[in-house]
Amino acid sequence: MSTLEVRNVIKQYHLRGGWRGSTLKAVNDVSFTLEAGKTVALVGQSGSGKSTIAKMLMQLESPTSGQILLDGKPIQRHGSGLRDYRRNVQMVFQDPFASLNPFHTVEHHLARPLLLHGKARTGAEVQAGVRRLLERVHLEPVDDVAQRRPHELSGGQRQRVAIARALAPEPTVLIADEPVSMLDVSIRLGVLNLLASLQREENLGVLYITHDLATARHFSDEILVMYRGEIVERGPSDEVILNPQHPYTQLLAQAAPNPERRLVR
Amino acid sequence: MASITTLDPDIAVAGYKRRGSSQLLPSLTPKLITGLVLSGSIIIFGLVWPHFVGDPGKINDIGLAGPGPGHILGTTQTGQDVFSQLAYATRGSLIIGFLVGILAMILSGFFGIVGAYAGGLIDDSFALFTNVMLVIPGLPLVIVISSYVPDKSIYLIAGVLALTSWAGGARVLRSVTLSLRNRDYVAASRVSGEKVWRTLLVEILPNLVPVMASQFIFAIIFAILGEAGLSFIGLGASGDWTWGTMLFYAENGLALRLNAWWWFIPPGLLIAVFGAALTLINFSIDEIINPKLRDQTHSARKKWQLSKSELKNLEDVR
Amino acid sequence: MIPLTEAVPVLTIENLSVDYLGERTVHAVKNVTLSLGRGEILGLAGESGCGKSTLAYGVNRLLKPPGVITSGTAEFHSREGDTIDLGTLAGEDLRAFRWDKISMVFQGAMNSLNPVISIRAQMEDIFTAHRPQMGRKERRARCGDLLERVGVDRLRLRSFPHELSGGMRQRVMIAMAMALGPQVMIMDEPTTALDVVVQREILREMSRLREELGFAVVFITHDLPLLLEISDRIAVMKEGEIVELGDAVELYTNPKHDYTKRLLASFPSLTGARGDFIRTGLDTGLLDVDAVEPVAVAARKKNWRRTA
Repeated sequence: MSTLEVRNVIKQYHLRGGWRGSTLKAVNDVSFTLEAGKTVALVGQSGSGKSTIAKMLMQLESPTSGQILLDGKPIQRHGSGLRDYRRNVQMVFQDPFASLNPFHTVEHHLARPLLLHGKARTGAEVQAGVRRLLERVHLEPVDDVAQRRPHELSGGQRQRVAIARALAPEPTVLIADEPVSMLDVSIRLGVLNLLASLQREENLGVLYITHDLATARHFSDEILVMYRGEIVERGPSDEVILNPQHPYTQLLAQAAPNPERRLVR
Repeated sequence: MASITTLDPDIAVAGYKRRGSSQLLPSLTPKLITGLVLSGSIIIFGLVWPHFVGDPGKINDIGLAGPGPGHILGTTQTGQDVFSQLAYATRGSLIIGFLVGILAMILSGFFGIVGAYAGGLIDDSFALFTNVMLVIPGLPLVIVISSYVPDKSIYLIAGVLALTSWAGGARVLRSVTLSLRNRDYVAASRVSGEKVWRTLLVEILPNLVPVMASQFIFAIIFAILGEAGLSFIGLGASGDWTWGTMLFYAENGLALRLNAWWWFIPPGLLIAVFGAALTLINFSIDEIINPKLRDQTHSARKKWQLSKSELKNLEDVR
Repeated sequence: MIPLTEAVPVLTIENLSVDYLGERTVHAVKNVTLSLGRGEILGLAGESGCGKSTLAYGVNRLLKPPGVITSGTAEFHSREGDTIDLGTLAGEDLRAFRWDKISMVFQGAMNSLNPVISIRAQMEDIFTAHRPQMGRKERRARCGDLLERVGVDRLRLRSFPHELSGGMRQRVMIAMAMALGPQVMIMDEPTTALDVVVQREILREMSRLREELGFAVVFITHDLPLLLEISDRIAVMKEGEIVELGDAVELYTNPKHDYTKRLLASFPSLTGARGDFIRTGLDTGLLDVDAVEPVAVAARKKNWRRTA
């Protein structure tokens, strides 16, 4: 069980523009905590900084200032510390078409993390591990799916492979960056339910990053609303959606399509 | 146990929406088959035939003679057998072609891919070096280098040609690598804990293979044409047999004026045919890189099975 | 109250079918019958691959080979009283008809603007092509008016597309679609890539313009809650066919077809009861929709691809 904490994190980018550059604060003094067994939703529109936070949490970028702590200790950026971090914190990417390499089979995608984190050593162990992972995400028949390449699977199936890949190192924290926004509508709920049930089974801490208020409300315990790099409102899901305090949250809640409104007319 | 939904293959496949690279090898179109057969035959000719023909340099008393018994393609001014020269010349040109192809691929791969993947200072300096090499005029450089060394072997010529041709490919590889580097699956590989060099080898390189294959073939064409040009102006590997040196000797022996077509047409024809065959193969590789090209070819259109008037109607609407 | 369509239809589509030809012909649109009332907003809902965009392109005669209309008709009933068969329009008539009577806002409209030409030049192009008698000053004034109508500052005429934000570019596209005062506007996922806040603003503009100018709208999207909010009627498409067509409120409160019900269930309510569709155990039923096909079907598809 792990706790991931973000403390006063700032991320600045320098934009090139001739002699003078300008700085862009993509993330401005953001703090929050992600605990085991809880889902926290990070809600914001494009440009709000939520993807940048995801990248920093996955150590694909490093913060300009501030700290990220895993179980109270600052995270390691190199060597075995980094390896341990990666074993504990995993990510599901947004685009199912881009997050799997078209060149490799499903088996390859799942075997690599198993081998890298010592979850399987021999060929037989790897095969068994791959099968187990595919069964957990209900991609059956597993032997058939393992041999396929990404283009032979649908978007939803690919995303399930991505989830299986994220689960391979047996992480304690899962970052889900817009996991269903690029999937067909009728499949979204199935995948979200899958994530929810996996979270319950493994007692994971899940960060659900999305621009969709409705699913954020239903799948998370706490909502953080981001606007232009800052968290403008936070609280239990129902509170934030049904009783928004910050004007931006109120704007978001009003702008979201809501058929109920029409019935009231 | 999950129930299996039966999807109508017609709709499910949705042929008009191709997702991603659905083929890793080119489909066998007539174009590709022609290219492979032609280039394959020439390669076999160059590799195997020199063992069966006589000495190309052997001088006979016949003098300039047309095709006839004993000499399938006639003789040169000094009575040398043109056909044996052609066999050896084919081998020579092919050696230069493939050598340049490999050397150029190694150089452009190193400066293009490694630089782009590493980023930062390495990327900047590699890119600067590539751009400088690109701007240096190729032909004068080749001439200068060639003129310094009196006895040129085909290996020197190959080296010089490779040196002046890798830069363009490096630029292309760099831009493709830069775009691949930002793909999600590369990030996913790092997030899984993969080491940097392994990510480069296993994730990025395989996707570069079609581009590199195309560049390789293009380099071969360039090398053969370049060598022919160099030899023709006398800066080639005069001691060895290549298509270019054959043309050089043919020109010097006044073959054109003497209407000795059997001397200069075969090497020229082989250059043209080999170049064309390789280009056809390249077109097929292009179709892997850009799947949209597949739908618009003539053979694709034939599959629509529309009558001529219906096809015409389609054109009108656009 | 007379349903809008029965009053005065502006567009009638009857048994329209569109195929994509090839070794394996794909039936993208199958026998679709639809009519659009004057001034009505018709929502066309469906997931990717259902044929909704193909239908729109077919009606507009914008299909690229190998897409072909194989049967059916589409007729336009103009305000002046004549009926035009869209299938037989050709050459100069087709050119004059396009954009004047029916216009379209495309999917990915952000990329439909030419990046190297100024906004003004692109907008004036419409008038140059369709209203050649218009003078230069008048043209420029009209373009400025159009932009202000969609809520973009007139000064932006000078800008290039990359200098505008996504929402602004979308508004420019809508302005261009409205330029000749068409009677029908077809919008194919016009707000999908936009911020939800910007989307709301654009929808508001569109409503206002519709009240002002009285054009009918075919709004194509997969976002069913959005359609439920703004449309008069909604048509749900699946695999090339319309599975349900009816009044929006009726569809929401009393859906008839299974697919409509499933689609509605895919959108959790923002303000309704929380989490009633989250199962405590994993419900594989939801995942069955996206099950892996058996090997035989996949192998057949593989062979198709190889020979294609």
